[in-house]
Amino acid sequence: MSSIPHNVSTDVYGREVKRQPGDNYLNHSKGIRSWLLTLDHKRIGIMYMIVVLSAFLLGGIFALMVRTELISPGAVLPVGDRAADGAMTDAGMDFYNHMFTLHGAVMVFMFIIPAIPAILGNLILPLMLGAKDVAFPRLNLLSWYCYMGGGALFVYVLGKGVLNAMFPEIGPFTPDFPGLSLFGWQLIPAFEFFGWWTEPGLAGFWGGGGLDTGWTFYTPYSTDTATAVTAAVLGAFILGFSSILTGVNFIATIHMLRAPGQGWYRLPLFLWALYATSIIQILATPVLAITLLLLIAERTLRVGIFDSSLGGDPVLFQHFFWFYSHPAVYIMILPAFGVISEVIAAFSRKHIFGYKFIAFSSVAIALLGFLVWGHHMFVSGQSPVTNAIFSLLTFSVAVPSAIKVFNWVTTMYKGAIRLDTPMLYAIGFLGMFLIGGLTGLFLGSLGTDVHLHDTYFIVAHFHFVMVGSMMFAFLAGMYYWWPKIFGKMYCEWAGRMGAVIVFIGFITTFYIQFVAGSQGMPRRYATYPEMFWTHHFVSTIGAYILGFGLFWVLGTWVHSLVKGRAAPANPWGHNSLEWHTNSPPPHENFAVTPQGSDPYHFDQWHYDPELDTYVLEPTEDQPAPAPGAPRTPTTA
Amino acid sequence: MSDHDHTHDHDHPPHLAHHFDTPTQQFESGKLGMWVFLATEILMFGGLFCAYAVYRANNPDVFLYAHHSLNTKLGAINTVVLLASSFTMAWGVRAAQLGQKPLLVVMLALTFLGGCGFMGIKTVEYMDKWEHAHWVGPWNEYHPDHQADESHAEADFGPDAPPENGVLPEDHPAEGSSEAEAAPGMVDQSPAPTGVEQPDRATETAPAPQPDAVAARSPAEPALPQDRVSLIRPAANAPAGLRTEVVAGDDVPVAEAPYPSRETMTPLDRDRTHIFYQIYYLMTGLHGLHVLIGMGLIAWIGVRAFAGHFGPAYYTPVDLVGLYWHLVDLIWIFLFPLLYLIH
Amino acid sequence: MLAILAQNDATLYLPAPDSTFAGEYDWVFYFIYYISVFFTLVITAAAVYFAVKYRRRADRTEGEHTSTHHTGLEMTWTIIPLIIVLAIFYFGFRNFMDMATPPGDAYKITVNSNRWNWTFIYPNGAITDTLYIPADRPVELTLTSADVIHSLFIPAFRAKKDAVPGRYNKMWFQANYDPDDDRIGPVLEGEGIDGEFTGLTLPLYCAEYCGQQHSQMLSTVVVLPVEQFRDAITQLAEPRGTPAEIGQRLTEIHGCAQCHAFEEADTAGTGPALYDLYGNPERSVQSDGTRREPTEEYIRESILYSGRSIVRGYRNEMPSFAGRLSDNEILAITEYFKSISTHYEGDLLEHLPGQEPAEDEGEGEQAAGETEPTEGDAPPAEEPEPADETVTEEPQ
Ligand code: HEA
Ligand code: HEA
Ligand code: CUA
Ligand SMILES: [Cu+2]
Repeated sequence: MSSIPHNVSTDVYGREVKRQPGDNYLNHSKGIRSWLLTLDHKRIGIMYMIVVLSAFLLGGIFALMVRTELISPGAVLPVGDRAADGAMTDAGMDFYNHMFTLHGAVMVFMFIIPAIPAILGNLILPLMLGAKDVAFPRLNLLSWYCYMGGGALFVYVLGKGVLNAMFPEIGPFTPDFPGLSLFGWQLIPAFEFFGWWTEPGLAGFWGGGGLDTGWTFYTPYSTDTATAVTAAVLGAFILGFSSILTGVNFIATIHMLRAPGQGWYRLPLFLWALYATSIIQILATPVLAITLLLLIAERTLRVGIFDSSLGGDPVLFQHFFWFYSHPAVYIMILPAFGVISEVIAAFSRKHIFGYKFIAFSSVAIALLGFLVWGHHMFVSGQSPVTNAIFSLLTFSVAVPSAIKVFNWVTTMYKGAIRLDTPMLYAIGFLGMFLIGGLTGLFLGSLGTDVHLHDTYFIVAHFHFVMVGSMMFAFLAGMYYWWPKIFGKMYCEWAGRMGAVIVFIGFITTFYIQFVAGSQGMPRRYATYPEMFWTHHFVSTIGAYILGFGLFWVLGTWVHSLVKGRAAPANPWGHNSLEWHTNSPPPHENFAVTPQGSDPYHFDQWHYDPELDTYVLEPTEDQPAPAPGAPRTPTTA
Repeated sequence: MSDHDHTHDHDHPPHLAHHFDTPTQQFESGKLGMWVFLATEILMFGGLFCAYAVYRANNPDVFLYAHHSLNTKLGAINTVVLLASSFTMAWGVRAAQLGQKPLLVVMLALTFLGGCGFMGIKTVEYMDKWEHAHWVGPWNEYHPDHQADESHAEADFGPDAPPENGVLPEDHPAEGSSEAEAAPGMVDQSPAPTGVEQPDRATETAPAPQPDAVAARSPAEPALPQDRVSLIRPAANAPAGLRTEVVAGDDVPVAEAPYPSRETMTPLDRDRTHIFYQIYYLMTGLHGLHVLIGMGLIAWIGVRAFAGHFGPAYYTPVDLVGLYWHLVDLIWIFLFPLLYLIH
Repeated sequence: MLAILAQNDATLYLPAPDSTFAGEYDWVFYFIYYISVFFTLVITAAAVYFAVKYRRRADRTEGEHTSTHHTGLEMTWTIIPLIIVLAIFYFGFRNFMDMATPPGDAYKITVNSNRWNWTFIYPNGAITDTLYIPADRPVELTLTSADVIHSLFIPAFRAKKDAVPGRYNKMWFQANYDPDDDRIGPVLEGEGIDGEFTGLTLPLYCAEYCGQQHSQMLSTVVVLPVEQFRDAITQLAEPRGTPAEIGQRLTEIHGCAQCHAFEEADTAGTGPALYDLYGNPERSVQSDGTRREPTEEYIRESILYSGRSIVRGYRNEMPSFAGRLSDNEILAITEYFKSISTHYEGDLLEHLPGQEPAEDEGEGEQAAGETEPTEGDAPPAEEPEPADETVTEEPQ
């Protein structure tokens, strides 16, 4: 291991890659414009990575504020005037409501939905297909700008909230305040003449600052609150378009741009997962878009479709919202399934077990996921028959999930397992997804959901599937493809250490929330009865450990970028096509269009202890091209 | 998918992007992408169609009544205009395929004109609604927040606004009987659910007290104090979808009288009438937006066609915009009968 | 609170089951729980075992070439979970149908919710902010909301239902009551009614996010033995005290103090302060700058049509109380406002005697009178007797 010169990268045959300027996508061209106007899927992926991780950090900071406030029942964060008895003030409670709402909204719309598809998918999908790019590179860039636009609105909402809190005299805080306002700022003072402009319609348009509706935007609260719902909803709307564009792109790419020999059943499972995800993205997101438009119309024009005082029906909003948002939870988890399939196969050094079942269970989940939205509304007054149907359908989704889990474990059976960082996260994923998914059964079951609905049991359930499963898979994927993306290895022991800290922190934070929830602790509570103090205290301590672990993870990445050893073409010996090119890949991915083959057939790769990497043995019919010739040869 | 290796050396047709192997592959990709995108469009409108279905199912009479104020004649003309423009669009695509540049330009121009015609007629319709206070949001006379007597409203609706302005005194006994404020036209700005705080409705229809509960208990168990009627409005007056929850013994008639007549409308239905308009504006508005976008696209490919960019070898944009335009047309084909031709 | 910690049958996951269907609920819960524990343990154990057993450190051999698929195996782990989830569905469904179908003879209570306060209205006209229910009797709640969605949640009963504006959702439960339960303690103290009452006090939460004070929209359920319940609820339906006292009680019941300050020390600031309001125009400067004289009319309008008169510096947040407060009740509340205003000249005591006789009757209507047609029907105080008779006549 030590014999390898530090900064030498090797190609798939284990030969040194002579680094030249412009030989990979990272240094292919220079300057900020070459990034901001790039059409290269890999660069767009990197740009996504930067902003999505920032969003994650932002959401995480909100999470830590939420947890800090909950460390004891009274007021903790120094917000507003302190009540003498340490009880929570109105300002403190408002603040808490803003925190958890922004936490949920940022995490869902800006982190978890784009995380795997937009970062890893963009970076890896064309490579895995053996393509030069996605089908519509311009749309791809547009999707990033949509993300930025939507994100900017979220940041505006947040910033305005902070400003409002700091300078309450600026800007209208109440929708009753007449005058022309744009972006929540008072442009023209109150003249009678402008009354019509603000009343009763546009006054509430941008609202005040911040957001306190919960990430679910339930009406009539969201049509009623004075916070910046419209701006936030518009942000989510634009983010939705970003998601749709990615989905359209992936579907067209997977259909049209597969390398020769890359049949549907030779697609790595990550691509099947992304394909299924894209189906959901294009079918569900438009419904969210129209829902959010209706909400905006409701706030600005008071059309009353969701407002019972105007003849509308508030529960209809919930139907619309969950028609998108339940499938959206599978937008979050399906790509994670894909990552786990790759990682488990790679680190068990074994062909994945039950390829077709895993592939089709993704599609099954995607389709069945559209039929279960009503399970979020079991206690909203739906008729029992409707409830029963939704409950039954909910359980049908559990079965394909179960299939996947069993197949992964069987893949490990008699493997040659290496517990590198990605694999540690993958094993963590298995356990956490089991708990998260199985607690979904408590919620899908009609009777048990009545008591558990809107308690911390739900909070724990979805953090197990979103953090414990999806985020773990995301980290696994990041570590797994890190060498390919940046051409640098990360420090293995630090990576493992990070995985352990994150795992411990995670379990401490969220397992106890199941207990609190089933004991009756409702969610979205700024204060709580003292009987739940212990639960919350433990959970907060866990959150600090988890936060520390994630910063550690970030540290390992920064360290790798700065000091990491140059990565070989295929450090893990996986056979999917992205490993058939140099690390990092050249601008157009492959010097020669590769041939698709069974991605889980690892035998042709041999471990070279000298180089500490897997290399291809040149064979009779596949001789290695002359050194210095095109960097990436074709393989059979 | 192509089966031959792709290198940079072989000739690249001018319109072939670097990451495609053949023009066919590129064309097929574009077409697939467009179809997928159209699917998202349909789902987006699907949401509105669902809202439409829910409210129409719950308030069939309201829809039947309110649709009379739509101008069927103009709607029908618009349908014809849009169909014709779809036809010219298809012809244009054909012309592009055959490389008939002048025909293509003419056809695109005609299609564009069709779009203009459609939007023009739509504007006439909208203006008409505006003048009759059948506009969106609280600018609709049926909207509970509608303010007819304010200065700006007067300016908005003109002197010939309908005098009744939505509130029938006999249906709306003053809310607190002594209150002058409850007279027509007054507005309660707070979000006021139709439920409990409208005692008029509760009392009008409250069923007789029901001592039933007590009756069934065993003699050993003392009875519980029961005598009063609850404040709850009987479920028959609740939104129709909820009428399943009718309290036992409730015999309040649901308005089923032959519509439409403003005078026979229940207060509840009158309050809901504006919903029809809201849905009308949301649907036709979103559709109109699509027409405008489509017109922009047609103008764009029109200019390119004029510059001679298209020919039998490359006409993908024309084809894709054509698809989009047909979708816009198709949606209108659904909107027209749903909104204008209610029976 | 201590009492709750010391519950009898509470388990790690669930509080003590205090309603009839809670027992079955717990059974279903633990049924799913043990299935989950089983699968979690077996699968994680397998994964960890494989990871340890087949772990390679230095040598990098390939994994064994076991078969890459096995349809029989796949079908097994498709069908077994399918059967299990169908079983779970069945039990959950059965349990839910119990919760969803109130028996016909349930005692019916109306629940009105507004930000951030519960109002419980009993059939005899009593109104409380704590939910009193008879033990071992089915109780049916009809929930609605005056503003946004709330959700009534009683963990001990495993019962929850959303209160949706414009809808009338129903829920029911029957509380278990064991006189030897050590959680039972004195209740209804400070309500100013005669007699000693002991009951089981359980927490009640708002479970649907409803804004600022969502986390303080708490109340309690008090389970009383039937006789005590009848006694208490009959007394609670009777008006007590002067109009001002009744008014004060009404403001408590309707949770006005959540938003309004009633004395200088109060910190509630969502709405304008109400002490020193009556007769003090400083307190009623409108958002458009005009001053309105805070008279009876002003107070009445603010209660019924809260959006019409927004005091400067405040938002239009208050729900309308039209239909929830009768005219008499509003009068009583106005009297209360007068009593806490230094700007009110009249001597309260002198003010009253002249109206003494009328006042009694008025009070009777004040607390009870909600809807016009029934107001004259029967004085609430007389109710128990006819009700009792009904029972004695009843067979079985
Ligand atoms: C990544 C996101 C994600 C995922 C994957 C899931 C997965 C599932 N969820 Fe979850 N869910 C959320 C995110 C997610 N959920 C969120 C965010 C909310 C709350 C939203 C809000 O209100 O804010 C929520 C809320 C929620 C509710 C509503 C609760 C309520 O508000 O009352 C329900 C109810 O049915 C539910 C059910 C399920 C089920 C049955 C699954 C299933 O897909 C799980 C299937 C997996 C397994 C079952 C485990 C693997 C199986 C085995 C190993 C074999 C053994 C299996 C059997 C014997 C069956 N979820
Ligand atoms: C992807 C989704 C996601 C993620 C990751 C998280 C992460 C966390 N969540 Fe969140 N949560 C939600 C989605 C998510 N949550 C949603 C949807 C809700 C519901 C909101 C609502 O009710 O409306 C919710 C609500 C919610 C609540 C309930 C609030 C309430 O109901 O009152 C709580 C309370 O404990 C909580 C805690 C946490 C904690 C401690 C974390 C921790 O895991 C966070 C740790 C993260 C960090 C500390 C940031 C570290 C990041 C970096 C260092 C940046 C770089 C990153 C890397 C290099 C890895 N969350
Ligand atoms: Cu009321 Cu939450
Ligand atoms: Cu769901």
